[in-house]
Amino acid sequence: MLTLEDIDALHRAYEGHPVPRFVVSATLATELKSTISIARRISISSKNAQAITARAGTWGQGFSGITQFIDEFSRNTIDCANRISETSRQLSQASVTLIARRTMADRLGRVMAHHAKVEALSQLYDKYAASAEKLEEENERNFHQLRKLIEEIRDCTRALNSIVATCRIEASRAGPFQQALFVIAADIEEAAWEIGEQIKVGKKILDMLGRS
Amino acid sequence: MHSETLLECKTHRWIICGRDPDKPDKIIDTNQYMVRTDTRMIILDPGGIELFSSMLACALNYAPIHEITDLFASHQDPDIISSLGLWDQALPKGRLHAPWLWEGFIRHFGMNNIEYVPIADDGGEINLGSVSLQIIPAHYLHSSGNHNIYDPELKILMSGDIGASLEPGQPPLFVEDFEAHIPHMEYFHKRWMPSNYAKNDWIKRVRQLDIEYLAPQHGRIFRGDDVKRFLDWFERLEVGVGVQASYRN
Ligand SMILES: [Fe+2]
Ligand SMILES: [Fe+2]
Repeated sequence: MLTLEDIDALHRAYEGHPVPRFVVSATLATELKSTISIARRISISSKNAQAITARAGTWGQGFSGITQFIDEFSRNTIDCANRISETSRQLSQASVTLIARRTMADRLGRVMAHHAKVEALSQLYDKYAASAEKLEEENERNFHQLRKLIEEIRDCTRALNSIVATCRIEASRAGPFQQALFVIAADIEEAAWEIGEQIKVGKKILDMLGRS
Repeated sequence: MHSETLLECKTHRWIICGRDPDKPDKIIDTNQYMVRTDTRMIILDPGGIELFSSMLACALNYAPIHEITDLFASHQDPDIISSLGLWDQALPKGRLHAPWLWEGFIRHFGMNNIEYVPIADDGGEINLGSVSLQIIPAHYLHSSGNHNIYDPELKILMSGDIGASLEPGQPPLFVEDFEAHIPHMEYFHKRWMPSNYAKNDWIKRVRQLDIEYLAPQHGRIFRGDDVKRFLDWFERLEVGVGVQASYRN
């Protein structure tokens, strides 16, 4: 997993040149892959909590009501992380294709500038230029989509953090089951913190994408 | 693209990437190898242009982009290095180690930023700071300017097209039954390798190395006793059959 300092080092390595978009998006896809497994940990914790509260009977009633929310937020996080991974993978691939199209269009443009107008060449040029433009639009859409998804995950982790506070209160009322439920609240808190840190890194990578 | 660590020690590890399920059907399957130290990574025979996106994603699982500092091309073939133009744009500072003989040819794949480090005919070494890899000459096997990479510490020989096999589907990583493996590699060696003289010279050189893994660019890896079995088999094989094949019966 990269740290915020790693992202700075990565950016510095390009010495003022923009980091290529296909590199940024592939980095984002790689970095946010582990968010999925962390969110799965939350989901497992929530299932464990359900098992404990089922045994705890009335002691566990308060906590039991919360597990449903935890489950929902972990599912949302997994879903967002999956979509981020897929969208950034698409963005990376499309940016590679875009380079090829742009290079072809540029080279044809240069040839055309030195030769009398050749119909076949200008048709080919138009084809590459149009395809590059289409890819550019698609990339722009994917870029905005990524921003939205990152915000969504951030909202999920914020919500999870406030749920953890309620978990602790309810755990303290669970009598003999208190300790087990405290452990679960701590696990969820730790996982939410890890996702939060990843989102900071993800956002920083995405900011680089905005500049590339 | 599938990837896994092959061998590792304190200073570095070897990773194989390949068996890409997203690979277009008519493209030959290739193994890409990466050697990762604590601060740097080299990609050995980084592969074709069609594979680039998958390969980049795979490499980033092991190192951030600015720590991918070196590329190695055993020879000039498109399945080895036609992705160069894209690596050239991706890597902020990169060096390509490749045979001196092919510089003017390889540059056709597009190279503006990466530094070309020519490898002399008698090989040399690639220094990655904490790790040094030996470059072993393997000319005419099959390319006229061609090298292998040997890691004396982990005892891996990355042998390029030597030892390559073509099997349908997604074969396992290692040779499990040497005799059963022969049909998958026989034609490849007979037809793509041009010179018995070069072949025997290479075998003599390689027999002096302590090799645990012989890792080709296509197909399965030989390990342990199968390395010796391969060298013995290759020694007996007559190569260069394209010459006879060029006459119509
Ligand atoms: Fe080759
Ligand atoms: Fe090859």
